[in-house]
Amino acid sequence: MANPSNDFSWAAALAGVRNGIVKISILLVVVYAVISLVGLFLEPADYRQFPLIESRVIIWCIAQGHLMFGAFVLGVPIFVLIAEIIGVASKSEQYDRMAKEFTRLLAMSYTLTAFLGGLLLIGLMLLYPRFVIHMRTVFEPTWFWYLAIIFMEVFFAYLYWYSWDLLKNRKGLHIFIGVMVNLFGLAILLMTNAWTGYMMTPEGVEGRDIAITVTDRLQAFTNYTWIPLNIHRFIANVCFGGAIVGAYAAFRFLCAESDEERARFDWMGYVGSFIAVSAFIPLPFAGYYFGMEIYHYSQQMGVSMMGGSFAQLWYLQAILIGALFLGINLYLWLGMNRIPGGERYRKFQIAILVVIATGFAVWATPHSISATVAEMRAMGGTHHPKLGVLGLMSAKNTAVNMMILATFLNFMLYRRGNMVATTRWSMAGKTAQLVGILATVGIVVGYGIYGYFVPIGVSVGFSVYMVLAVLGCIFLFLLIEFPMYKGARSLGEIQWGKMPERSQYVLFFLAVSFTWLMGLMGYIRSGIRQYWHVYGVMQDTSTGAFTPTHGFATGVVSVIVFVFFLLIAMVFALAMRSERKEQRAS
Amino acid sequence: MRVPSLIWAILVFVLLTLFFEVGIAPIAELLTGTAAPLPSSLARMYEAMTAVAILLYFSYREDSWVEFLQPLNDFVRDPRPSPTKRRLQVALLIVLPLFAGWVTFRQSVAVLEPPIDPPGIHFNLPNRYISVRNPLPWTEENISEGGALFTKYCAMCHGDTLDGNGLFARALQPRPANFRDSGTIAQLDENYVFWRIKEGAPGLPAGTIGYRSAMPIWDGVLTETEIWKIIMYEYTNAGVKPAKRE
Repeated sequence: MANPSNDFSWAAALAGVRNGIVKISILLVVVYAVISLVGLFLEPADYRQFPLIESRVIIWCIAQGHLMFGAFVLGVPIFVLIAEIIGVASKSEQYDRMAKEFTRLLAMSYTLTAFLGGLLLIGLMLLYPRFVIHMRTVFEPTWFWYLAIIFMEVFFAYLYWYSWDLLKNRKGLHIFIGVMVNLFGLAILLMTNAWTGYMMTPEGVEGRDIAITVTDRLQAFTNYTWIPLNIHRFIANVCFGGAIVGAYAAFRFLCAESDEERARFDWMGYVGSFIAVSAFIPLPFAGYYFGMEIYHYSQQMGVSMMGGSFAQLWYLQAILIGALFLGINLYLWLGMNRIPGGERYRKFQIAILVVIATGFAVWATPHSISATVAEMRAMGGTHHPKLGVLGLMSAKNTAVNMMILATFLNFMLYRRGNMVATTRWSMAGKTAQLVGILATVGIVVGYGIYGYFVPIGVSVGFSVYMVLAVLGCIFLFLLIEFPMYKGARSLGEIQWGKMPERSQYVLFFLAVSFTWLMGLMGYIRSGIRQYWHVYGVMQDTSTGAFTPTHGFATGVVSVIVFVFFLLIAMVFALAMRSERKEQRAS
Repeated sequence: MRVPSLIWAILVFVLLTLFFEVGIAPIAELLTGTAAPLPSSLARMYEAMTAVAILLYFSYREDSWVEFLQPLNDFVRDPRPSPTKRRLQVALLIVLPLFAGWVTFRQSVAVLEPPIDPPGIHFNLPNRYISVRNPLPWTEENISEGGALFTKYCAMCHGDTLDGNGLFARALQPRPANFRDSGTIAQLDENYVFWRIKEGAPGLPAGTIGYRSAMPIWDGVLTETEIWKIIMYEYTNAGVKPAKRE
């Protein structure tokens, strides 16, 4: 892709936009041609088998890959826009440059997203024609809207990229284009989530299989899980985008040839990981809401998900999330070394580590423990007589809230690294903050213990009080923190770039873990439909309609993640080459 | 003499590992009367977490990380090792893969043990019931007919007031379900309750020993329409609603 700085004219910019639209149009024509031509040579069938690999697995891989790139191209514009606005408001070149850097990655990822989307369409049409007939009956009118929105998204996204330098003196207009990119991105998200949500929680139709009548298309579109899926995916996209951008910054940091480059990418990695972590904190709550709606729709699906055949996968999720907390805190601790004055807070690190590690252990202790026959005999079942209690929600909620609180405190210490409060009331302010934290710990742990003495229906409700206590504590802490450190004395500038290389591997770890989690959670969401294409309405009667073993499923997810990172590494390398070319040209 | 941090790390790791491997059982026995050791899957996870936490502790400062790695670097990267050190290096090179092989062998070797049926908690609704829906309207007539059927077939165990305290309740273990409790039918979809009535305790899947109550199979005694009427009566008179679509 040409760089906007090299061809500094509107004609070149519009040519770039035109090329983008032509590329998408050609792709769609090719997809249509392939489906039509191959369809001519195939016998009519409900299902077709893909050579060597099971049809379901191939669709799974393509759909997940498409979703990952889709999440990236929808999530990144959100904070690109925010970064650009911050840059304009604070007149900071640094933010503007970073926003442009992120957009460079974006522009290259659109092509891959569209390519995988085209493959998915071909795969579904040819391998699952009967299922496509069902979906077409329910959603055909939305497909045309979807195409129109895709074109609008591509138009504005390419225009946003190519007009970056041309509109550098008319930032208001450029920001407007950025808003349009995000609005159309959001429309894509809403539309695809309606289809996905319908497959899980269908409504608005009568009949079975392909003999259905659409009674209310709007109801089918705005099905039970539509809103929670939108919220969950929106937040997760931002989180995922931040993590991938962090990984890009780490890649550039490790390839950097000068201190200036190292400083720039160190800062970018910090911002990317900050965005990822900020979005990561509310994600479990959005997940709870999503899960609640699934339970409301069907007990069976809810039980399969949390207590039935998929329960062991949540165990893996817990381990990954615990590891993410450790990774995030390690990154902050390593970052504190580059802050003059940061050494003052080292004494708190061991306490925070103990809280996080203990929370991690509790969070990852399952209720039904994988055990050998001899171990089960010794325990009297799959529940350990003492540690089994750690598998209940009371313990989990306590653990995760404590981990969130500890991570927040760690970030606050990091923020204070090079600052000395000069306000007269700083001692009183710090005491009030300490009292707030201790009170929150008391509430969280207190409700955690009390939860064992009341019926489960009541104790589940305690999670709301725990979350409110933690969020309230964070809010009050910040309310004191900002005025208290206003005009604070600085102990020196943050020495961006002075980070050990292992810190950058933490950023890679965050990105891989988020991606793997996304694949795993996506599999659970889709898998709980069991042998239904559309739950309770259209049964999957193909040979692949069984729930695979967890080992196989996690293996497939791992392969998808590996291929995704190979592709994204290619995007990184192209972005770096493009930037270096631009630098040489200028 | 100052103890190297690597030695501290190994010491802490060994102590905690010992606690996980042999320390949990006596504590569990003291508290619950059952000397249950920690299952190996959980013990390995805790040990791995301990190792990661220790590594993290030494790695977040450059000086402590260098000091931590020092003995390892001295041993492995020594350009001119003494003959004894050389022998030790070679021994390590042989012992480590052998150890890894032995651990892998232990994990993969088949152990023949009789199967057990451990108690479960969450029972999945059989797939054949997923799309079953109540075909009857919630009319007073249907609910009233359900009440008559409930009194005839169910009240002896589940009680006139649906609280699980019927005449026979005290003789049964587990006790009949209390429908007024928010933890029973209020948390279930109608088709789940339909399954439980139709197939009774014998219809429960494997892994449900502790839950096999005296609930009989009503299929063949009651028609499906009658079961639905009873379900509507139970929900209405227990003052709860089926936990489903809002």
